[in-house]
Amino acid sequence: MAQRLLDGIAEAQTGPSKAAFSWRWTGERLLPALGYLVPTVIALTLAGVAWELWVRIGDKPVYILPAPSVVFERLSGDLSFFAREGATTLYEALAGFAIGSTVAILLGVAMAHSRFIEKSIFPLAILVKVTPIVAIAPLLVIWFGFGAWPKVLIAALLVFFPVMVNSVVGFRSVNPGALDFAHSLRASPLEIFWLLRLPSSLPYIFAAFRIVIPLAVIGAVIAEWFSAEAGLGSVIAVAHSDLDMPTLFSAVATLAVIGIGLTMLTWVIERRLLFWHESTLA
Amino acid sequence: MTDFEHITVSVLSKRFRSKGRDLLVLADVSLGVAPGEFVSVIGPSGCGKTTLLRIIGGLLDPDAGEIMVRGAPPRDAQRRKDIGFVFQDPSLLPWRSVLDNVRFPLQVNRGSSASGSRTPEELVETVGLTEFARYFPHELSGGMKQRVALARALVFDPALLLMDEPLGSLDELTRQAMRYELLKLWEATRQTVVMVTHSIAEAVLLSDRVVVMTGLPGRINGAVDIDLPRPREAGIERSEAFLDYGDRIQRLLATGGPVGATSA
Amino acid sequence: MRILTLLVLSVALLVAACSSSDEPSEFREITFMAGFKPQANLPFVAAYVAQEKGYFAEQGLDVRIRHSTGEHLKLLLSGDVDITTANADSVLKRRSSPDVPIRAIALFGQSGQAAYVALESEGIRTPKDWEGKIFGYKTSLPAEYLAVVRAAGVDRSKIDEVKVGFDPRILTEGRVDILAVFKSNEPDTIRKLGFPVTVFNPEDYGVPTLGLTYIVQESTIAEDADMVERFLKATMKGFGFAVENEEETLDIVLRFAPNEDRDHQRFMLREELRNAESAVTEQGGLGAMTDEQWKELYDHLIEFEALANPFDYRTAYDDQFLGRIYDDAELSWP
Repeated sequence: MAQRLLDGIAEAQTGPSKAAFSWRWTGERLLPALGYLVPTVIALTLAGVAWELWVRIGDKPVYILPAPSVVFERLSGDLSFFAREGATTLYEALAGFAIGSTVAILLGVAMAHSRFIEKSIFPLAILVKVTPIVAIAPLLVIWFGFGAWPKVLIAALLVFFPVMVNSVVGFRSVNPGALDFAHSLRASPLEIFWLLRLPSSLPYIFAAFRIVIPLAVIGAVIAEWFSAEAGLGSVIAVAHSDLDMPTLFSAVATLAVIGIGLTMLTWVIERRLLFWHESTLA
Repeated sequence: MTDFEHITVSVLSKRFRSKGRDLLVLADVSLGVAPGEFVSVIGPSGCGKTTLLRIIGGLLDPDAGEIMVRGAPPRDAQRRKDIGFVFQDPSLLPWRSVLDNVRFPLQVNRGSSASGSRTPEELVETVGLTEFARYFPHELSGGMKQRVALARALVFDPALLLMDEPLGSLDELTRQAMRYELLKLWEATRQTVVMVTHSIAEAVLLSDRVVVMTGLPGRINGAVDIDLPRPREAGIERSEAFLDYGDRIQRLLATGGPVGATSA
Repeated sequence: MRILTLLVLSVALLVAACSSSDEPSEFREITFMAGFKPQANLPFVAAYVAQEKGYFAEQGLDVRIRHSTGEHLKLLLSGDVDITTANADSVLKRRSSPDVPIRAIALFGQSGQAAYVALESEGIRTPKDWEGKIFGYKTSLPAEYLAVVRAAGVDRSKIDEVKVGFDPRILTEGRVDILAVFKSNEPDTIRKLGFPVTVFNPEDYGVPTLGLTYIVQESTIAEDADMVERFLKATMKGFGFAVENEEETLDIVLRFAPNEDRDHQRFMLREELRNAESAVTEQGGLGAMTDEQWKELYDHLIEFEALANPFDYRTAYDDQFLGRIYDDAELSWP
């Protein structure tokens, strides 16, 4: 189904010809790419061993710093719990990402086409960006209640700014020669947008995506501290007040897995959609 | 001037504002091009050749003077898809294959009824890239990319082809080979062509007439009719007549000519 | 010759003057961390007064008073802080899991500060009225709430319990109907926002509660008992001062908390002082606590499953210092 989705996007861009990417490409490129994880795995293992030794030799109490073995035991002993809480946070982060990106890109379209809109909206966007979450989160809880909405909105707020900035730059970064050529055909602004600006903007927008996806997760987690009964942020808050370090670290580890997984997924999608761009080819 | 000029340019001038100063780029330029004629425009860098081409093509408006393409303003010619463009930078869309790049003009203004006599596949074959139809620009050499640009420009069988140093970004060897390719292609279809170039040899090889422009402000210094037999064969560059034409053009370039000289 | 004699004499006098002062020859430097921002919670107040009135100095202590942003227990355990504060039920919970080696050495609230409020305009008068409403708690479902619900015969399944965090506007905006609060704090804050409230006290329903305590590490008791005793003496004197001198105490508090509202601090101080004395303190002096009190609290927490593991509750407190500093409820001084 994903293949059909990607093919559909390709078809819309390039006309009814066969897309240049295939699953075989994924197999040829992805598996060796996983090989890139080897240095990371080795580094993490060494760090883990050092940590374990430090705790044991220094006889550190578990409520100050738990050993990796203890954390691992806690995590693996209750995998479904952490998975379930992780799923909640993941959902909030993804929903926030979707909403934030959509609004940002739509605004980016408007701003790319009108300097006036750009100059009026930009200061407001910066205002949103510099306001700390801790000030906004309680208000959102008061206005939107205890469900997922405040977390989704906080995640969306964090996602918004980088995506907006990058989409404006992206929509304006069309090859001038191609633009000339389109003008010589008397292409309408809508056609120019769809056929030229949108594909040109993808490298920039995806660069922003790679930045904001971890931010969306963080946003969801922090929002959960303010009011939530589920989600890894809530688990962390409770574990913190209970001085239950093994659970706290297990939740953090789960978040790390989620963050890495999402980033890799973005990277894979990006490499397939942007097979033609310098940043992918280099 | 014949009755049915394809292009008529009368007393054209154009200014650009740069760094707060007005720059007169073209002054009183007049030019006529007959149907099926291959005209090269040659001149020193910055003399306004590109500007002239873009005005003819309707991408820029002149400040004074009149320009007609097939009896109508350039914008109308654009609408009728009467003009094909080839720029120095092929500016292919990197996310599209060769074939899809050639298809691109067909997807603009879908509502219009314009169409070409050859399919994109045929055009790709015409420029000799059938094997590479599914390749992407980043996989092509400079010469190949320019050939795609050419095929793309021919989609609607334009009556007029405007080329701005189409071979300028290629290395010398490829450039020389491509000249002959261009010649062959043109001789099959015989569109009206206005080509800007830096190379005297190129101008003489390809054109029926070479128009020489001066430095800023750009004026037409003179023109040389090239009366060499067609089809032009390889080796013709070494002929006496060829070298002779080259000299005349060289002199026109060097002298900068009398003010107000008109074209032939 | 004469000048030299004069010089030697002056130096000798100087040295004599210095050594003849009442102060001990050496000050012990320690760190006390109040478990929240600067305000009129009794254990903080006792320390503020002891500082400002010189009681710490008289006991040979140079006390650095810090305030917590949530890490005070951790800092105590890592040794960065010598003494801090904690609520009695927290002490029991943390000893239960993860079994941190801490002990409470004095008790400031003979009953605790946990309470529940509802807007008067909502007409919620008894716990029975909680049915069909939304109850908001800060971080975890309080044992006292469960006890009140049981004692009042309320059907808990009819109450919507939600975790709300720390902003009392959640009540005034109508997001919850009943909110878990500190008696000495939010009721006043909410009233000042213009919303009169009905307060529910767990004690009124027979629920055992205890208030704030001072806690230290077990190792500190073993290795530094003298310091602990001196600290407690000075702060209990400060405690006594606060009981008798409200306005001057408020002056002192505001020196540590310059941005706080005096009226609100007065409310807080009075409310906590109201719970500071009982038959226990009449017998044992201010800050006193009994084994029965701790056992009762422990049993209550076990019953409502607020403790992860059962354990010997006597490891949660140590009243030896109280015994040493008081003689028949009189504080020995210096």
